[in-house]
Order: sequence, then C-alpha cells, then structure tokens
Amino acid sequence: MVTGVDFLPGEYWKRRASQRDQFYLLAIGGALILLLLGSIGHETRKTGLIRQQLRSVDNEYQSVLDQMADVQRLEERQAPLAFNARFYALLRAHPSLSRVLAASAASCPPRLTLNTISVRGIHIADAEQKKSRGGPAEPAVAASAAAARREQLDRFAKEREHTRFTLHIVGVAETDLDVVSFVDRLERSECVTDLTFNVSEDSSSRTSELRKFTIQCRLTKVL
Amino acid sequence: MAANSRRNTLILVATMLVTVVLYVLLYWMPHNRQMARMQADIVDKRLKIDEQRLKLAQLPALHSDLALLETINRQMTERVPESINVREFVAAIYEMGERRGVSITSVTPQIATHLVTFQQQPVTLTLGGRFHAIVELLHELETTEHLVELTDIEVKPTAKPGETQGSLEVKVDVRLFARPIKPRLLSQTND
Repeated sequence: MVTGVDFLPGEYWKRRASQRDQFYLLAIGGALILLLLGSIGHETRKTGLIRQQLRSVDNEYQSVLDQMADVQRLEERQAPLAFNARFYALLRAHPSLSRVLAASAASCPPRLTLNTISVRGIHIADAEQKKSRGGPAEPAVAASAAAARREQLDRFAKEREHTRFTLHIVGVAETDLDVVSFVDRLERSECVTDLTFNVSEDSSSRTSELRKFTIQCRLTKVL
Repeated sequence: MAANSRRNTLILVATMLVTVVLYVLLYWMPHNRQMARMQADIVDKRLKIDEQRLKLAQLPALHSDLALLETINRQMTERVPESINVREFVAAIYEMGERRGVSITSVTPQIATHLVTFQQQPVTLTLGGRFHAIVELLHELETTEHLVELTDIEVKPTAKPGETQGSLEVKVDVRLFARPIKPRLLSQTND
C-alpha cells in the first residue's frame, strides 16, 4: 500500500539544492578565473612573440640603416662630382665655330665671294623672360651654399639652352643661281638650320652686274 | 537559509562581474592598446625597411655612376686648369700662329669673372692671315689641351693696303676657364 508520506524532510532537499547551486556558481567562478588566467597567459605569450618580432625588425632596421649610411656616404661623395660633371657637360655642349667656318668655305661655289662671315651667340630667352615675369627677376634667396651653387648651375644651364648661335654671311655672286647653289650646299652641310637669305643688286659695283647677298642661319646644337 | 544562499550567490556573481570588468579595464584594454602600438611599429618599420632596401638596390648603380663621374671629373681636371694663365695662353696662340702663318694682331684680356663656381676669362683676339690657316688655328684652339670656348667670330677682308690678296682679319672672342679655388688654397695664399 502506497502512502503519500514523505520519508525525507523537505528542509534537507532545499539545503541540498542550495548547496548544489552554490557549487555550480563556485565552479562557474572557478572556470571564469581559469579563463581569465588562461587569457592572461595567452596575451602574455602573444606579447612576448610581438616583442620578439619587434626586436628582430629593430635589428633588421638597424642593419639596413647601417647599409644606408654607406649609400649616403656615396651620395655625398657623388654630389660635388655630379655638379662638376654637369658643368663640364654644359661647357662642352657648344658648337664648333671653326667647323662652321670651314663648312661655309667648303660650300662656296667658284663664282661667289664671301665678304664677311660672323658667328654670334644670342640669348633668345631674355625678351621672353622679361615678358613673362613683367620685369627683372629678383634673385631667390638660397637656403644654403650648396643650394645657391645648384641654383647658379641651373641658371647657367638655362642660359646655355637659350643661347642660339647665328651665322651671318655677306657676299657677292655673279648670278642668283650661284647664291642658291651656295645656300643649298650650306644646308646640306648639316651645320646650320633655319636658313634665310636675301639677294639684291650690288650697288657698289658699277662695272659688272654683281648680285649682293646676305645669309642668316642658326647653327645646329651639336657640331 | 534561502536568504543566506541568495546573498552568497549575489556576492559571487557580483565578484565575478567586478573581476571581469577589472580584467577588461585594467588589463585587456591597455594591453591591447600596447599590442596595437607595437604591431603598428612593426608595420611602420617594415615599410621603412622595404623603402631603404629599394634604395639599397641602387647601390651597384650608384657605384657605377660614381666611377663614371670620377672619369668625367678626371677629364675635366685635365682640360680645365686650376688657374687661368693668360700669359701661357698668349704664348700658345703665338706659337700656333707662327706655325700656321697667322699673325696675331692683338690680344685683349677682359676682366675675369665667376661662372657658377668656376672662373672665366674672356679674351678678344685679332688674327690676320689666310682663311684656311685661320680656320685651322681656330680648330686647334677649340681642341687644345685646356678648354677654350669660342663665343663670337667675325671674318672680314683686310682693309690694310699692301697685304696679300685673300688675307683676312678675324676678330675672335674666346673664354678661358679655371676650376674653383678651394678655401684651403685661399687661406694658404692669404697667409
């Protein structure tokens, strides 16, 4: 016969349940502390690895910097040499005027006389620069001596670039055809470019009908 | 009993929460900030290393450039003297003229000036003689040991009576150059 009598006291069960809950909570707390400690350990290990990486990168950077010091020394050694080399190259980028004279004489046909030959360097940029600046340019204040030297060299390079050598010839010929032949030969000599000429009657000659001519042209850059 | 248990539970939960919050605020966040800083530092340094390595790759080119520049500078040292010696130039031009049958009518040195850091000395020459001889002399002048630049040339027939036919007068403007004077040398000359 089954009776509804409770053999175990209710209070005992409640205490057991409360103890179990507290054990669970303690276990959860313990697990949490373990997790925190684990996380701290993990983070510390990660930090160690990163510190190690940083040290190795630092060492690498230092060694690269040491090598760069060599590059810098080379560059410092190179700078004055490059400056002189550029200046020398600019000096040498000058047409050979004797060759132009020789070419003029060699191109001259037999029935033609050259009275004057002149070769002159003209700065073509002067007028353009004044126009664009609206007046004379003020020299810029250079930060250092090296910068000032560089600026001077740049100015010299510009001056060289804007200098055009012109050949001016005045002479007399028997016919216009002789002049044209001379012009043609001169052009084919490849020493000159942009050639213009003018032929007129020679007023100084009364006995014969000579033709007076003037030729103007530009020397090619490199001769 | 139940109240006691509830209180203990609350204390435990609160302690856990405080621990977590303290962990996050006092350890995890500063630690992560420090790690991020270190990682950024690593990335930054790696970029710098790559950049420097690119420059380092130019080292062989720099060496060859330097060798080339040294050669050009040697050539320049040979062709541009340390100082302008007009007397030596005049002697050389007279010697050339004598050899080629060209008379040197006048030699007019102008004021020496600075060109970039170098020195330049304009000289005006008047030559007389036959065209071929003069052109040869001018060519020799252009290709002489020391750098001489011809700037202007004017060729005219000689107006003087008694001169041989075909004799010309040539006015030539030339420029002589010299290397920059080193400060050490300057101080030596001042002493």
